[in-house]
Amino acid sequence: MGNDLDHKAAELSVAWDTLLAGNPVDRVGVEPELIQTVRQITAAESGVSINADLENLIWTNVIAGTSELWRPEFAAPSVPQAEAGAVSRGNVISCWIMRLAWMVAAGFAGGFAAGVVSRLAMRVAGFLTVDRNRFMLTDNGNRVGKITLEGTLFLGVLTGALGIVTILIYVLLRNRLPFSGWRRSLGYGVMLLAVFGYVLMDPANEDYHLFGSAWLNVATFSSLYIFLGLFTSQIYEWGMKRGLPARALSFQPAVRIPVLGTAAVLAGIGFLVSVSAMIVGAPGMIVVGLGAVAWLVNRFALKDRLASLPAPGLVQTWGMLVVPGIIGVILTARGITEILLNR
Amino acid sequence: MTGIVLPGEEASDDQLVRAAQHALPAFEHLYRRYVNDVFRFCCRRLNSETDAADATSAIFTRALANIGACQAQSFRPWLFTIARNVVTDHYRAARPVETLDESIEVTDEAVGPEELAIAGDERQSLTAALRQLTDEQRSIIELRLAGLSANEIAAALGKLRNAIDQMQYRAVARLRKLLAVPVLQMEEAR
Repeated sequence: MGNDLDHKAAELSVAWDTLLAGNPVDRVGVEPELIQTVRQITAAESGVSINADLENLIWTNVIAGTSELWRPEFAAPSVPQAEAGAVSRGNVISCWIMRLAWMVAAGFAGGFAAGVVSRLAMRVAGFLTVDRNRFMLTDNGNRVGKITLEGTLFLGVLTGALGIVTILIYVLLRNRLPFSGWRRSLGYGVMLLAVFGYVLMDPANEDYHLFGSAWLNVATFSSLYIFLGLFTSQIYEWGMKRGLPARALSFQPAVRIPVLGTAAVLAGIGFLVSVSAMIVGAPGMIVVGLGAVAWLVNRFALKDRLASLPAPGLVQTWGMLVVPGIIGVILTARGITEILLNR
Repeated sequence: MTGIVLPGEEASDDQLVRAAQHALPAFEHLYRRYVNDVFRFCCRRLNSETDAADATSAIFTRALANIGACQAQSFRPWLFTIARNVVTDHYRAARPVETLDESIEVTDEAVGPEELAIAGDERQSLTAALRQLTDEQRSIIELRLAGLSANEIAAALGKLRNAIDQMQYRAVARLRKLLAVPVLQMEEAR
């Protein structure tokens, strides 16, 4: 009985495959009533199709909404315009500009928010500090336990600038990061902490000892990385989901040109801020720089040979970032360990 | 930078996927090839052309973003795995994202209003009948209607071919009873 059902099921499946291929069904083992049902439901569905305007609109959304714009091939001048189909080069460039501007805006906003939230966390740590250290000067010349508006704004602007770099790295790695949604953002924040944590987790920084518990201080400073990763990527994704950068394409020329100009300026500012932040945070940027060089070498000098290897994603293209990343993790672990053991 | 030789739109999925991992125009060929199947699949699952357009956009966005991880020889099952995930996400989401409703107009290849009405009735009957199936049976039939072969469905659902065949058999047998259209009448219609 079981074998009979298996046989009939297999025959029906083969017959349906044959129908899909556009060939007549002449298999004797197939029940004709079932084939009729297959034809009936296929006919009911076959009339539905998408119209050309919607097809083109969705395609415009797709190229604007993907986070693969960092891939240089997408702007490859060797690709003939005729092969690009309905997508004009102007649209792609506009998407690039708006996309970069949105990255800068999201990175700064997320970074600023992360800075303010971390400042609040520091305030909690400040309340917990022992009395003898209260109002002593910190490593940066500020008073322990004293939170000022100027200090908060300064930290917000600084972390805003870091947020721009953060979002650039996020876009670079986004498709290789595990999970999705807020879990991916949280994971990204943890990754930032692991790889770049040593920039702040400096055992020579007396602040870790001026404030209360060293554990609490490590946790407070760690939260900055987590918030940076979480806030910047979530704001960025929020705008991308709603197609904010792509909306510039639908503006009238009178509005579109000034918007694109403003976006280009914003993107330029973002670039300068990123470079400055990289210079300021030089130790951390060594990791990024090594990874970027490795990626470029693989992409162009090795012609993507590493990516074409039959290996899991971890050891393919973005795997080139793993070695410098591991160095960062070791430095971070060493820094945290020394801070905690010294107290 | 070295020049990239792009296959034409007549190239196989395999060739296009390999090229799309390096150049956008190759992905556009894949998009044009499958957008209708994906849109139809979404229409069937979401019962709303506006939602289906949004979902189609999300599916291809996700596909393009992850094309580097796609095995060239199994693009279609991979694409419909994404499609199923996006549709599931859509159900979970409290409210849909930006819509594309201003351009939505589903066309029908049937010629006259009578044929359109009949096709609409058949579609509604099929929709009602599909609701009577189990989730797995329904998924199989919907993927079939999107044009996937049995092997591709097995790959998309992560099940053995034998299991797919059996569930499909039971689903078609159940649909036959639910739709309850005399065979002779269908023969005449053909």
